Amino acid sequence: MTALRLGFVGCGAITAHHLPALRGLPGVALAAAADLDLDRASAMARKFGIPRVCRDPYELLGHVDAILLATPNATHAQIATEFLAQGVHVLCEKPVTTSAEKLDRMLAAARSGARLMGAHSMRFLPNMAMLRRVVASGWLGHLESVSGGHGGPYEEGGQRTDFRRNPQLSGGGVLIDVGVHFLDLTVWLAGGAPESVEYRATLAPGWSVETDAEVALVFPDGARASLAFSYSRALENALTVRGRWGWVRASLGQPLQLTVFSERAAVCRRDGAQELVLPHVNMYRAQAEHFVNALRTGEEFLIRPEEMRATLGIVDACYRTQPVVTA
Amino acid sequence: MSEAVLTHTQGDADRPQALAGLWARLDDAIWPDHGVPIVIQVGVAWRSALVLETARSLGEWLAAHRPGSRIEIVDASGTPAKWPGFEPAGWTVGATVPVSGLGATRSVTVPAAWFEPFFLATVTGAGPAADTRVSGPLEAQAEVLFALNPSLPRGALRAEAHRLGRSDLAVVCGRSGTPLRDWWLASASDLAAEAALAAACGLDPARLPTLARVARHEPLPLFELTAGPAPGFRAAPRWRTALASLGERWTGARATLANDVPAVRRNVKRIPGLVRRYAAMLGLARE
Repeated sequence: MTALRLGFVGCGAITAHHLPALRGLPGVALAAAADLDLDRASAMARKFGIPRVCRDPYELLGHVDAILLATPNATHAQIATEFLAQGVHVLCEKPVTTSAEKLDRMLAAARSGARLMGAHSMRFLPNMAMLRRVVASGWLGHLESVSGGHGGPYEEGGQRTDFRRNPQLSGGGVLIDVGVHFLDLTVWLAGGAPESVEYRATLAPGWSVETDAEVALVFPDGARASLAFSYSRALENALTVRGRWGWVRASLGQPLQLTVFSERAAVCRRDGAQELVLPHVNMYRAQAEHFVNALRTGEEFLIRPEEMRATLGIVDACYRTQPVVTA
Repeated sequence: MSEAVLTHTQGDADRPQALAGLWARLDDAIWPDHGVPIVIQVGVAWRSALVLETARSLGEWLAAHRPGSRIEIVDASGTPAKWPGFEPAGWTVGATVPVSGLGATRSVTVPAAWFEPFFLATVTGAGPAADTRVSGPLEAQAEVLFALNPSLPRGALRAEAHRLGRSDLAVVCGRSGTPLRDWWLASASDLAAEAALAAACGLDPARLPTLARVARHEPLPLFELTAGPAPGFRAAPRWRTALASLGERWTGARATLANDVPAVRRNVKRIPGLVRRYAAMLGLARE
């Protein structure tokens, strides 16, 4: 089996999470890395045994079979389109791009069987994967609601550059940066795009993108979602899903745990809500394994194009509403 | 839930008649609503022709009295008996879910089917057991968990099986007397049935290892032992139980170690990142 030559475009904070997880992945050769900061790319290359380093991402063409694209959001579309058009597969950090229209152009550019997957890594968290299984199993009955909050003070996050403050690079604020995770999970759980979207957002002083956002969604089968995202406040960082017969709660802080209650479940009738204790999985490694296996076998990606489109469709709908500046 | 323990003996009737009499004597309140799936779990330990016939008879009686209810059989034996007319539940071979355990048991793997609705009836034989003194419904209930959690201590699994998968109806059966006649104990409480069995063997139920373990987490049921059948066997001596508990502790320690070592290894790797985060929080370094 020939190893898949994987390149890295953008060597920022998130790539520093991906690389250790990808080291030693069977059938994958870490082939090249590109970053405008050549010193940083070189340091990463030395650490992870990557033979080729450059500033210009397009120098990777011809030397890689697939790339992990982790540059600022607004640059994804152009870079991914070029690589897909040259037959190179793309695992693209979230948000895949800044609008559904750009996503469609990226997908249309793919040649020679090249494929695009959004790196919505939270789907690979043990408790989120199990949450999806619980919902799909029907233990909760008909899905009624999804609620949750994700976010915390911006200064406490690890940023190498401050591109998130710049709408030309970020394509938006907390919604497109943090919110896309829960929006993607909600679309995944609900099985498609919502039929209505309501959005409220605020900008903290000194910011030119929204720092707090609330989204309310209604899906065609009546399921509702109520989600909050913040750069300014510490939210619960958890997702709660309710069905006709029960509920399930997954916390980002405790990815190996999931609390489940269903009034119909024999085990809950005997002993109330159950806490599932899940085996440890590195979400970045699980995501890369899935990406590589799907490329080898031709199986569908877990994150399907229509789901990426639905998530970005929600972002588009939200950004048609003008954020309110806080006093 | 009723905690009465019904005792029933064959008397002069043949076995099918005696079994029909047993089911008819059970309180109507214990049976499931129409349409609720029914699972009959057949104990492996002390299995006999009587156990199999009792389970089949219960299944046929329920099929007649709860028409429309799906009836499944859980048979955790390596060579499952034939169960014509009933579906296998596949609890030991189907999807599983790891749930949080009691005490030191971090997690217990249970059948995913336990998150579905069902009425559970357990039919089992009884006999002496080194680690529990007597083997009855609590042992039979735990056999599925024994199969799914081979590295966990069995004492913990018996308590977990009661907590998470206890029977809605527990039936214990055996043969004793001269000439040999069949006897049955039946209860909507697995604990009451186990306690009645122990008492019939001349033991103090509260001192049985399994019941004592359950009593750490919930009060044991009060039950009145009416004149009932003599089980016809002697419980295992206490010294054998003490010896078995040493083995149990060793298994428990090994299982805990198997959980803890990978967790410690993972967390040790996190220490440099943690130090960096604290340094960044204190303004001593840039994250």
